[in-house]
Amino acid sequence: MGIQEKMALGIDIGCSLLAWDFFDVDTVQTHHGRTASVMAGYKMARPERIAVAYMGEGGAYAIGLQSLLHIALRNEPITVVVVNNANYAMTGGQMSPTTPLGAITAFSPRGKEEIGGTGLKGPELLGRVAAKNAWIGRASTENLLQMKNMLKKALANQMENKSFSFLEILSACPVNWKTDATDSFKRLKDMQKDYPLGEIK
Amino acid sequence: MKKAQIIIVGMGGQGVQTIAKILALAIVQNGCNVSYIPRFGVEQRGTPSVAFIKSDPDKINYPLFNVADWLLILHPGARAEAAGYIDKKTQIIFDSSLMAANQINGNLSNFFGLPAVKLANDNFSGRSANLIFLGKISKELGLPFEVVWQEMLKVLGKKFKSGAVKEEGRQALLAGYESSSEKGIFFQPTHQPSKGMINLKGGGKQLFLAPERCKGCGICIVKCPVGAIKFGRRASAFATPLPEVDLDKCNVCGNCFLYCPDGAIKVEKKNKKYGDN
Repeated sequence: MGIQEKMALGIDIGCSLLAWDFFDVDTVQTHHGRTASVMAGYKMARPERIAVAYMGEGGAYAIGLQSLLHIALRNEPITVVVVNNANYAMTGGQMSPTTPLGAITAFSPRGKEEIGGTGLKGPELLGRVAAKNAWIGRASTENLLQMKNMLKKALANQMENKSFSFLEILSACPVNWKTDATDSFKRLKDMQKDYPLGEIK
Repeated sequence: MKKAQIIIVGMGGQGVQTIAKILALAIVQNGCNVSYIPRFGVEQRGTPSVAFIKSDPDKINYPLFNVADWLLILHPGARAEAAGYIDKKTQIIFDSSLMAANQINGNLSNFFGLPAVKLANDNFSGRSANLIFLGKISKELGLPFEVVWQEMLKVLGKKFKSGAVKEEGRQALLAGYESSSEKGIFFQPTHQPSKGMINLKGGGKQLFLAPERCKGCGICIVKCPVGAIKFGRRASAFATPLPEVDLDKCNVCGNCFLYCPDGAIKVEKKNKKYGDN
């Protein structure tokens, strides 16, 4: 899209921060869960730049949910990318808000029990409060072409409509799920039943 | 069995904690008290991983120690972790296929080179280098082979999906157990498993494979629509097996490049360079 020079990437704490090695753009690392807020502030100061906040689901839905909700509510023109791998991977695979029912993690050794709702559906939640022009969607690393298209739409929405765009990406964590490549994709497909893919708003 | 203070260091993903666990269990079977403390970074892979093992026929009052009797260095990237635990008497077993002796501080007369990665690549799969180290240290500590093997079956039993893999594991352990103690000065690493870019040509196609990036996740194997990719016997920089591509079967769909999380593999039609579109 030719936006490499104009882009600023904000990264959260967690495995997702390793993204600074992969993208050749300006990056800033923020406090845990505050990436979206920092990038919203950056966008206010430099409206001509393209601000992308890249965070894990622990940072976005657990500790940073209030920032994220209010940014969606105020329709800040930034793109938020949340990588959802259903656990806190960097600290050893603890239970996160999106962990599916029955999944065994370090905090749920007998499988996650139902305590009101299955898992937090971030895009659906934000879709309720976001403005009319906002773009919200969910993709999966299991289907990369769809993911690429959605990412394109999320960035285009920020540039053209000057409004909030949000993309959740379901991802695998073979190390903490203790799966190999085949089982990872199988479990990812199971996750897609709970978290349906597609454009939500 | 006597008192022993053992430290095993390596890179996360090499199986340092696995062999430390087996070793600790085998020492228990031999009628000794054991303490085993693992230490690794939060990333779990690609960072130094250290295991502290203390064995004592009497009661162990305190599991930590300042000086190791035995030090196993599985990867040059982790040798800094071990530097503080070396003194004149420390017996050091290091992978002479990956590093030179002068990269490690210590008393040179106590150095044992064990070319485990080279042995594993030549005879077994790249993953079993840690088992060769396990065999070696068991021999040095005077543990019977069968005891170690039985404990290994208990810990790794689920991973042996076929008899062939099980036999390979046993052979790797035995190779380490029976390996000679090469004493001496190792100026040059004998083996450089993974550098640069592998470029293979055949059938009008060419394969690019970057061993320094590949971490052996196997996603390319799952995502290949024609089943042209499988694990080979060579090892990558993370001591995991590298994929091998059957270029005659490959239909240049580009899935492996698309799905590879690290951009380590790519198949192109001939006469293109890596990075060209």
